[in-house]
Amino acid sequence: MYLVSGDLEMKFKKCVSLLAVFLLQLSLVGCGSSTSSDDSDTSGSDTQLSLNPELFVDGALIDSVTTEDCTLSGGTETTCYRITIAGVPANAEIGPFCPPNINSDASEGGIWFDGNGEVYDISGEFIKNLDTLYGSDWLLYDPATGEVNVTDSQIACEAAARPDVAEEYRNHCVVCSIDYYGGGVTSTFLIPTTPVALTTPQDIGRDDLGLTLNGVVFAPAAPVDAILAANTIAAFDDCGGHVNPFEGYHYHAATGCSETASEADGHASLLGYAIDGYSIFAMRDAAGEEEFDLDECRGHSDDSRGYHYHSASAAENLFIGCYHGEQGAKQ
Amino acid sequence: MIVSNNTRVLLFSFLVGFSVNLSAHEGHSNTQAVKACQNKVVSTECSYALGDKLYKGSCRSIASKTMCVRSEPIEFLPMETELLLRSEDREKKL
Repeated sequence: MYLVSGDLEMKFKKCVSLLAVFLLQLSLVGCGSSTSSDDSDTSGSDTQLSLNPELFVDGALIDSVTTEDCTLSGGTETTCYRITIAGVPANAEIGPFCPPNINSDASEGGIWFDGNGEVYDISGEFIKNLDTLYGSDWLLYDPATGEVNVTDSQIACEAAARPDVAEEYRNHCVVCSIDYYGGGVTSTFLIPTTPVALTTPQDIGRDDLGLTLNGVVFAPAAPVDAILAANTIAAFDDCGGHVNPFEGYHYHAATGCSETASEADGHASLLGYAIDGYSIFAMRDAAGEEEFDLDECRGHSDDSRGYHYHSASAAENLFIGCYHGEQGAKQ
Repeated sequence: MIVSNNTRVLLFSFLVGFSVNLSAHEGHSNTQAVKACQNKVVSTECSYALGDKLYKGSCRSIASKTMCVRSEPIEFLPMETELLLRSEDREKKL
């Protein structure tokens, strides 16, 4: 009860503070001074941040970035960067994913999210209690030994990772080693050198959304419906990524691993770029605050960066909501 | 410690107006985000609650599913509101 009235009071105070800041800015403009307003909506600003090839982490790219003519999704003819990423994080190890035993602690496993608001640490205890979360037919371990059923071969991983999971791999924690796929699946993107805004945002399909500064793809929402329907957990590592036979290692959530540099003004850190060339930043700024003026794509503009996106939380199983600009391509 | 009737009315109207849905893990993938946009067209406002968190945004089509994409900061619901929503959700199902 106290929280309700307290919260309203806080919001009222925040509104008053914002009004005061707004009036102060008006007065400064009237005096011919300028002031920086880092995250106010300034869609009329001329500034537009575009992809900077120098920001990729050493080892993230397997080739130098080149520029070539390209045609974007909306038909605009322009120039694009050709960027080939390594497909594995240049700044972190992959895994762990599934704990070996129900007595294992959280450091021996990764994380799990199903888009329903929680991010779970995959400890042995989590595996043991899956029946309370998803139903009594869930048993991902051997009750006699406590050993977790983990797909421990390429055959097992591929049988469990396909839509029609073989009966013998139901009730498994699914892990696919990146070693089965040459240590990483490279991907080449054509990203517009200067983003081209659309008049109406475009839907996100089933293709990858973009690339991170540490050399990994931003994948669309994990198909946890299908994964859970087979009584399997396709575990993510603590970075929100996992391996499948088609794409190798890819991210389904932003948990901080691709934040390689902080922004001088306290803005959220840059994670990478969407396929339309706009930057994708972390959800929260250096003070732990979220933006309050995002559009339906989870983007907004500011004076320093122009239009850019902010990733959603891992618990929401998505990064951005739509494309603000015409897209390049993934080849 | 006391919440006025006005506050209650405001809170209730706000929650009803945004067609809040509640999760008790009835489903799986982004279930509540998808439910929040059932019978709604893209760009319509939407919201849903999961536990003590309220998510507000707009309906968008992602991988051919229309779902609620949050555009506002996550709000934390007071426990009383969470319990009220759970109870209303149960009643709807009966």
